[in-house]
Amino acid sequence: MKSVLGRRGVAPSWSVQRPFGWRTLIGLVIILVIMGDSAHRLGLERIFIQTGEAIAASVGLQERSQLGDAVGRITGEMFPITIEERKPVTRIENFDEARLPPFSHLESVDVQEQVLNSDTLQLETVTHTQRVLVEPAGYLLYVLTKMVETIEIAIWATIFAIVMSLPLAYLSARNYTPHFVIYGAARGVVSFFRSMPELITALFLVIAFGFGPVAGILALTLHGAGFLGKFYADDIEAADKRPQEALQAIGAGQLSILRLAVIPQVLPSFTAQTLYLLDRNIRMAAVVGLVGGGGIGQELKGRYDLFEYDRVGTILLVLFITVVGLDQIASRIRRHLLS
Amino acid sequence: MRDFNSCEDRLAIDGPALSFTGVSKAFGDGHQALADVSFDVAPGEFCVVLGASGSGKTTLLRMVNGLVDVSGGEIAVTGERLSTANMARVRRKIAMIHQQFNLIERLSVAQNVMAGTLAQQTVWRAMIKLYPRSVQNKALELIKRVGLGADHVNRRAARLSGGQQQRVAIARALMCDPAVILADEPVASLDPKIAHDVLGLIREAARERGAAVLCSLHQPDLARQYGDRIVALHQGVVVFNGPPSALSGDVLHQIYHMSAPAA
Ligand SMILES: Nc1ncnc2c1ncn2[C@@H]1O[C@H](COP(=O)(O)OP(=O)(O)O)[C@@H](O)[C@H]1O
Ligand SMILES: [Mg+2]
Repeated sequence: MKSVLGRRGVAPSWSVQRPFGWRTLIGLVIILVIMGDSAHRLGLERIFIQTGEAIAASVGLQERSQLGDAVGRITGEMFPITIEERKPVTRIENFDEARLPPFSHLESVDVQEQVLNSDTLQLETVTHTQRVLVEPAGYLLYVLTKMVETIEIAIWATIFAIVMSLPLAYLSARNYTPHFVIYGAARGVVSFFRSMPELITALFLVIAFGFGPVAGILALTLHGAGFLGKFYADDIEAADKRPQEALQAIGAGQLSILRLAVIPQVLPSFTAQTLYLLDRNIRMAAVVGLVGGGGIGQELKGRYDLFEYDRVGTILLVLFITVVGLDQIASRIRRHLLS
Repeated sequence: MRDFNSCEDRLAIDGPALSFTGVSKAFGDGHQALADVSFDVAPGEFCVVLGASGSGKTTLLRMVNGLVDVSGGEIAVTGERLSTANMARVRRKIAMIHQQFNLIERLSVAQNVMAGTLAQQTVWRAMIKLYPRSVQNKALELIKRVGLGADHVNRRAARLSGGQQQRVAIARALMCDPAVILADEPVASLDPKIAHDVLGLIREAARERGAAVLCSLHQPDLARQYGDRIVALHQGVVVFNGPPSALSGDVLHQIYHMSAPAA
């Protein structure tokens, strides 16, 4: 005879177990209190107050709002965005009028300058004619080359991250690592890389390698290797064991098994993670540029510091369109590979 | 240690393809899965291991190619006694067919079949998945032999039906010219009609090549129909070893009813 007592030694009763108990409820209350305190310390209420004011102002309930004013001021200065590039010919080295850049032309403009007359000691307005080289899409083209540079930075960083993470993933996959000590060490390295924020790594790498793409690429590579290393390793560990066992049974070597029975199975997932990293790297490549890591971010920082918001507008627009466009391409690739 | 590359090895050609002598298995948790199992399988013979679920069939088969360690007794393949030292070499003479087919689903049929020769290939060949012409031709021949068409050759294994996948697994098993083919419930996931086709194919293909088959099954009627000989396991002990015609109702009763027959 089986015991009539249930698992905990209490007689089973004809009732459905409650899905949650009072402990869950108390836990929830504690979490809410902690979150409330944190929100208060960080001043999160301003999110609601200022957004509320802005909405009220926009529907006419209120004269003006701080947020609305700020947004209005910035957009006012950003638009119209700057597309063309104008440069006084006197500031162009080796200027040759016979060989102008394509689609450009020269304009003569009157420039008024306040000059201190040394005789009268008074400010006088002097007008003189200056010749200016106008490239109608010059600035946009420059921003586009910077955008291409940013994408290049992201692609190189992704490639380097793949190359670095493959051996790390092999060593930190429990079922393929040569030794558990190596497993622990590799997992440690991977977590360390992943925990390094790109922006801060870039700050230090700029000191070591100077301003420019190299520092940006390396900063993105280190974080990316940590990211891919972990997810590749987890995929290898979780891969279907049956085909691996089939090859093991006929005496195939570890590397052959990894190549033939693991890689093909995890490839869709590898690809999805790598595409995610590339996507993230393009956005982050723009960010590390802010601290001197090359690309469009460096240009953005420079213009921002000079209060040239019309050019900042151009940069942000190009960045936005690029990220959206690449996202479309990436999702198409992903769909193709997963089928 | 004895030297198996000498005359004993050659003498073994007339001996059994596979022999178990007093083999036992106790798992780490102390569970005795097999006890004192002894029997031989001759070259070209189709030997069925019959038993209920949990009787030790899988354990017995997996000990032959070292997927499970032997606790006691010895196993010999074409006269060569298994040990950890010669496992890599012995494995080349043994092929395995699995209940779940165990194909690499995202690789093509041809790639799966050619992978059957991996133990003989250099690592770089595996890396680039490019096999010698002779291997390619042999794979094509075997794909035809197991009843698949040219349209299947480069199709992903996952696209095939269960029966077709098991045919691919059979072709993969035949690639290394095995002396012994282990088949662990090869038809347990297949429809009855397909099950007959697949078992028939394994038996014929093995017989053509003089390979011994050790095939586990849990259905007595299939065992009777395809086995040249039946070894019945009950709770890790051999309770019958003989031709299908000698398999009595008493034995079947003992295998499939948990209670021991009253003494
Ligand atoms: N890795 C293992 N550890 C412990 N016990 C096991 C292990 N594998 C199998 N067993 C036990 O050994 C017995 C025989 O199992 P198995 O060989 O799989 O039987 P069958 O294939 O005939 O169903 C079962 O009781 C099973 O629970
Ligand atoms: Mg089994």
